[in-house]
Amino acid sequence: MAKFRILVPCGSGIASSTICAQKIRKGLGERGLDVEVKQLAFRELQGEIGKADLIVSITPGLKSDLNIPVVNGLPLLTGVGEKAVFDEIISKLTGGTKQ
Amino acid sequence: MSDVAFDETLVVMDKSFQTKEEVIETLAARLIEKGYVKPAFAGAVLERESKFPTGLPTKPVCVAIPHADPEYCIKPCLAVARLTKPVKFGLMTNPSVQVDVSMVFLLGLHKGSDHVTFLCALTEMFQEEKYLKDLMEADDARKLASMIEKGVSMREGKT
Repeated sequence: MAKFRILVPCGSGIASSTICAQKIRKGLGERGLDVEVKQLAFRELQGEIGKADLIVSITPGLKSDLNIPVVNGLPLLTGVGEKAVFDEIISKLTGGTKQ
Repeated sequence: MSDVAFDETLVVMDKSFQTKEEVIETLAARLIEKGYVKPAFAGAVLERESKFPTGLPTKPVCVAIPHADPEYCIKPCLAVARLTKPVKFGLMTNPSVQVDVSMVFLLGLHKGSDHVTFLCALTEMFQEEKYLKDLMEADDARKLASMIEKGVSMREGKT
């Protein structure tokens, strides 16, 4: 199976998205999924979408008509409901329309 | 947290603030005074907060992790405020929702991966209900600072 690419945008691409991306790498790695996770600033997102399989969103302002699955990543930062986020990411990556 | 400047002088204990602006300006003033961030840091944090808020609905109390773009940071640093009365921050995923925040972790960060372990350790720490509760109950600034330092260092080893 090809390596999945996940994008995690936040305001400046240095704090919230860094934390979130690291959690995703760890969590999906433990679940045996080969992923490349990239944290980036919100303004860099447009140029990267075409090369990605999924966005984990922790910021406001994401357009709803993006042609890519989006998962709400807030639980990865609060620790409340993390498992459901990983389940949703895996289901959207492996069972979604894109693959 | 060897690379991140933090000690009890960067802790504001049990002050009463009306707004997040007051909290951020007070904490930023300490970082500016020490020369860890540029004078424009406070304004940059507030501007970023208005577009990309940083309130997180953790338990038993909510926290916020305000920060600014890396160019305002001279040396990676952390300043912490524990509030007697929560102030409102926007929810990270939706600025129109307000969360009542009782602890504020103001971050001064560089670009790059050198702070990843620190950030993850800090987050893991306030994701633990018991730990956050202990921080809310610490007797004084010195104790609070030492709990944060220990808590982060311990978790840095794990990640």
